[in-house]
Amino acid sequence: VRANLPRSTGAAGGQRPPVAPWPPAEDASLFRLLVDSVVDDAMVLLTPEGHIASWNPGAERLAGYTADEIVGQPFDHFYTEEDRAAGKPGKLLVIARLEGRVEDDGWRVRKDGSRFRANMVITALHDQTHTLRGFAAVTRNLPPRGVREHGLLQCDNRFGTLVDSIKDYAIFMLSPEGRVLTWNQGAERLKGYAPNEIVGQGFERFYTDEARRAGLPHRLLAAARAEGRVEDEGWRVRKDGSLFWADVVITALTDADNRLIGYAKVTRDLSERRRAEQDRAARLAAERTAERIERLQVATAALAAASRPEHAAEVLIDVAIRAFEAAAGAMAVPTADGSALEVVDARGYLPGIVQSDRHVGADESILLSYTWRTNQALFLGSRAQVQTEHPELMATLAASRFEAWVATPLVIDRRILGVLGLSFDQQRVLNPDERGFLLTLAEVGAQAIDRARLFESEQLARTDAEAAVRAQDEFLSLAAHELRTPVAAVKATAQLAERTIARGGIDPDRLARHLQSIARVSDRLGALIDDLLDVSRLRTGRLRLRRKQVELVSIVHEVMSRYRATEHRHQFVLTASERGARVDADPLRLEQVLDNLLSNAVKYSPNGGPIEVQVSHESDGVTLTVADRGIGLPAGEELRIFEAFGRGSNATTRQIQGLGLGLSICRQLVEVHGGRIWATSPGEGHGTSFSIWLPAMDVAEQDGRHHG
Amino acid sequence: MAESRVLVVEDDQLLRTVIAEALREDGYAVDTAADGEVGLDLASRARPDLVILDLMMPYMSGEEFSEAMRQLDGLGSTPIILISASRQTDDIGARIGADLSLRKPFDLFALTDRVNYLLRRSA
Repeated sequence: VRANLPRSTGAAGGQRPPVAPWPPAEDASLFRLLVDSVVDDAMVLLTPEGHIASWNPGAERLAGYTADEIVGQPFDHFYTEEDRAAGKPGKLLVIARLEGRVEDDGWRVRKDGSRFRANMVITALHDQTHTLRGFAAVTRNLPPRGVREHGLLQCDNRFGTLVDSIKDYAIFMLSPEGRVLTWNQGAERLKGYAPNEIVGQGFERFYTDEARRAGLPHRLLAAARAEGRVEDEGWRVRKDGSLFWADVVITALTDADNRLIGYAKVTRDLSERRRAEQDRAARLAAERTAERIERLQVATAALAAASRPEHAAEVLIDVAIRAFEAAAGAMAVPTADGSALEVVDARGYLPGIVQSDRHVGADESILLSYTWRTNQALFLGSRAQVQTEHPELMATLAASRFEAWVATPLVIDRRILGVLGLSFDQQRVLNPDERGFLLTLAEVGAQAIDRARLFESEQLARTDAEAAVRAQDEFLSLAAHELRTPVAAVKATAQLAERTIARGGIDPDRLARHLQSIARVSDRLGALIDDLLDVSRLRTGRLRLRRKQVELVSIVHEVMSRYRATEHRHQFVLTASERGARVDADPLRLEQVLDNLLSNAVKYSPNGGPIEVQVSHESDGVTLTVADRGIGLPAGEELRIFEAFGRGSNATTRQIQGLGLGLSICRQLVEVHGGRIWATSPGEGHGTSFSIWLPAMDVAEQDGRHHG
Repeated sequence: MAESRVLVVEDDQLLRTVIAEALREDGYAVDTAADGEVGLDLASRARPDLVILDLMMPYMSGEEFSEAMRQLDGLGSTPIILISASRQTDDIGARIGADLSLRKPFDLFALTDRVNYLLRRSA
């Protein structure tokens, strides 16, 4: 059988098989001619056992074997190892035998080992006694364009059977003028004409009116004549007038002298496939849309839950990376001064780069900055695109380990909150759908970040306000507590005096002593209340200063003379330079500070001793120091004593009266004057020095332009 | 009957003095201390029949004082009158087993009446 089968004409370009003179004396040679003329589809006959019995030029072109090499081999040669291991070729034959035909899309292997995707139809061939005689296998290379492989085993070399038995393709011959010469079952099935209706008719009737008016049918023949073959995809008309979408290959048939003897025309109805593809495309698009909507919903929900901007950024990057299958993503926001971008969060970049300096690597960060400056989304699908559209970015992106980039500004109410960038391992061109999705995501992200920021700042403000209220409560409670004890003493003293009088034992001296006590404590209470009010005003910034040009040394003189008059156990010594030290200050407040420091010096040096006051000039200010030889300060308490209610621990154990407000007030008074106050002590029992520094008035003010 | 002794532990000098004066007028022997440490020392030596105790004092709080005093021989159940500016005066008083808790400013006679009641009853 095999030996009787025709051979292909050998070379890949063998579209010009040797042909019998026209018209052919014998059907077989005509059909053989037809089969051999098909170079785009592999048409192969298989024995019932699945061995290759015939091989046409299409098969050679597709699979790379010549007929000599392959005829007689099992047809599973063309299958991948996996398919062979799974027994797929054998199964296909079984199905073809049982059902008449089988269609299979899948990978095939060429002689050189390379793979191609093919669509194959295997048709079982039975003779009149219903005995299986073999199979016809027609294979077409799938995605770009195909080659069909059609095989038909015909015991008696009758290619007419091969061609005729094929039901999925209309295969027929045309005369040089375009009249139909042969008609197979596939043609009848496809176009609806019986052979006797159509043979001898012009082939133009298969075309739409429009195509005929445009002269398409004869242009195709002319092209086939000129090029050897021509391919066309378009609408064709059935006998009943209905249309189908066809894939057509017309091959010119010539004799040995290269005279045109006609055309072979192979037509396939792609309507189903086209519809299926359209359906599939529509379904895919719908699925993608649904998926995006779902992603967007998930993202929106996650973003809505983000109460901190960093968290919103994290979610946004996460969603974007997953949605676009990006390798890396980052979000950056302008720094506080708006001069640069700072990365808030990044995923997928080399960790060291991001964390060390908050940059996503110079290459990607340049992209973010560029997007930030232009306020335009940037889609760079490949390095080539960067080169042609944004060559200015090429210098930096050349070093990147990524191949494609996108970046979009995050805008809300025309404000750019930041920039979102994605990087891809491979070239990646976003289709319009995807671009739209990215922009929507950026919009949702911007809203979420804006909301989170607002939420955070509100929360911070609330926390601040709460802390202020709490501090005020605490202060009031401490103040009230401190006021209760002297009030209790006043009340008890008054009650005791009252009882003494009631009992008739009036001792004027004793009564006077009680009344003096009451007066003294009342003074203390009054001062305490003033202190509390000062502290409160200073804390809330409501203290009003009446500043004027003040001669510091004269104030010091004045206050010291008051102390000299009442405190006889201490010696008050002033050291000051001749030159007057003028400062811009509220004289009453300055006096208050001095008074406080001196009274502390007296109070904390219960054994008396010298109290030295020194005023010294510096280029930029004046320093005043009050030093005593008193109980000193335990190490580490130099700062605490300036806090409200903060007192030296040795002050409390030594029963020295005081609330711990004075120094707190001094500190704040000095600070509102733009100065500083500090304490030093060589240690407990070795005295304490308090110093204040006040800024000097600037020269212009010293020249008298000051109007205080 | 030997005169009853009262110990006043209070850091405010005037209040301490006035309470002591009122109690002496009522016929008690009064010791005073300005902080808990001195107070404990006095308590262990003078064996007071009643203690008037401030809560917030330097070095040792009234609570710490009462705990330490209860450990002293024979002073385990000495009555205590607590005087304090604290808002929690009553609670703290209950906690340390004070016979009376007075919040500052208080009625001097409420204090002396309770002293008289406690000491005359126990005498």
